[in-house]
Amino acid sequence: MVDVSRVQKELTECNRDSDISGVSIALHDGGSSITHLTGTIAGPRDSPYEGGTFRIDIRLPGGYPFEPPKMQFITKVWHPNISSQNGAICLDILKDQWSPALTLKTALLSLQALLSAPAPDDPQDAVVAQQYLRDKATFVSTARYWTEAFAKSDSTGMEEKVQKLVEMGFPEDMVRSALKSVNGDENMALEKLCSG
Amino acid sequence: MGTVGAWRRAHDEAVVDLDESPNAAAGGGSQHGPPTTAGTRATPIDVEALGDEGSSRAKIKRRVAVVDLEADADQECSGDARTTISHLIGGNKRRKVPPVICLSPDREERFSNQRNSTVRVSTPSANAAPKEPTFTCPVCLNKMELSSVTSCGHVFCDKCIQAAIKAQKKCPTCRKRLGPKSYRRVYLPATADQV
Repeated sequence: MVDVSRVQKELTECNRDSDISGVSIALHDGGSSITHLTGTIAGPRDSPYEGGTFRIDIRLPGGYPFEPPKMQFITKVWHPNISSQNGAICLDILKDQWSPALTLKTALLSLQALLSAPAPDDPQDAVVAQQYLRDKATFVSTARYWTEAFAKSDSTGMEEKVQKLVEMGFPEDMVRSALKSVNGDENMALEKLCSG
Repeated sequence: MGTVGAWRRAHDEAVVDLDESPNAAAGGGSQHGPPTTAGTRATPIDVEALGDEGSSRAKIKRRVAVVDLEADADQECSGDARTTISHLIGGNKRRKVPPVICLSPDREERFSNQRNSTVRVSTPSANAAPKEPTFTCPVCLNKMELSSVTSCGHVFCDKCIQAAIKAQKKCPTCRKRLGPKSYRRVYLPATADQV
């Protein structure tokens, strides 16, 4: 069985400094299962993913933390090691190099690092990898376009949403983190803020 | 408090003995006799002092009076006495300190300062002493239970390293290959700030 107390600790620990780390974790779609989570990572600076917010589906197998968590991008992303079709990730620590001393937070941070430093020699998406190796400029502009189109779509009008929720009496920092964790959905953010 | 009183009395007697031998040596024998005689006398006089009820009782009375003065600072005193005793277990030098200082009032003041500092030092250590040092297991993220060390030197709960080896045959921290017997119990010491 999944070590529930460990997962709870991980969630608290990860979300404590999510403003600084740029990664956060919440229960999937505000559900109640501790084995189905959604991670959020901020696109790293100085990369074509900068400014984007990427959501990752996280499923914890029964053997967690002795088995790696199953992670997959929900947000479409153009990257040699991430499938442009289904978001599958090629990263060693999510497979044979997983260790129970790693955590969901360190795994998400590794994904953030992967966005900064693609490994085209060990690709998940061959088409993207080919483009990365042969025509870097096109790769960068495609990746940037995908970030604009898919990783920012919900964040348009973010300031208005923040303003609206702040006027309801919630502190601004809580409003921002709530909106961020539900990828900008105003109603879900409100629900989250109300539930505490 | 009964024990404290008993300790005081016993302690005062001990001081009486110590005071007695040099006094006797100085007043009795040393003027007329050679130093060697004084040395040999020291022992019988010591015994005499113990046996001589009159003189030792007088001394004790004097001491008791001093103790009474000290008892003016009633509550403080009882607290201090306890602290002092806890410090004195096994400390011979310290054992001599309180009565000597209690004899003169100005010294007592210095002593009380000293005592206060002792109390201040002892209070945190007394609070910290029952607190177990806590280490967090990197696998379960809980307090380490039955800490065990791997052959590569990494420490985990016994059940965590056992499960990790069963699942991956590797150290969770450094990924070194480990077999089912590549770890053993380890008994961690207190942390440095508690000493």
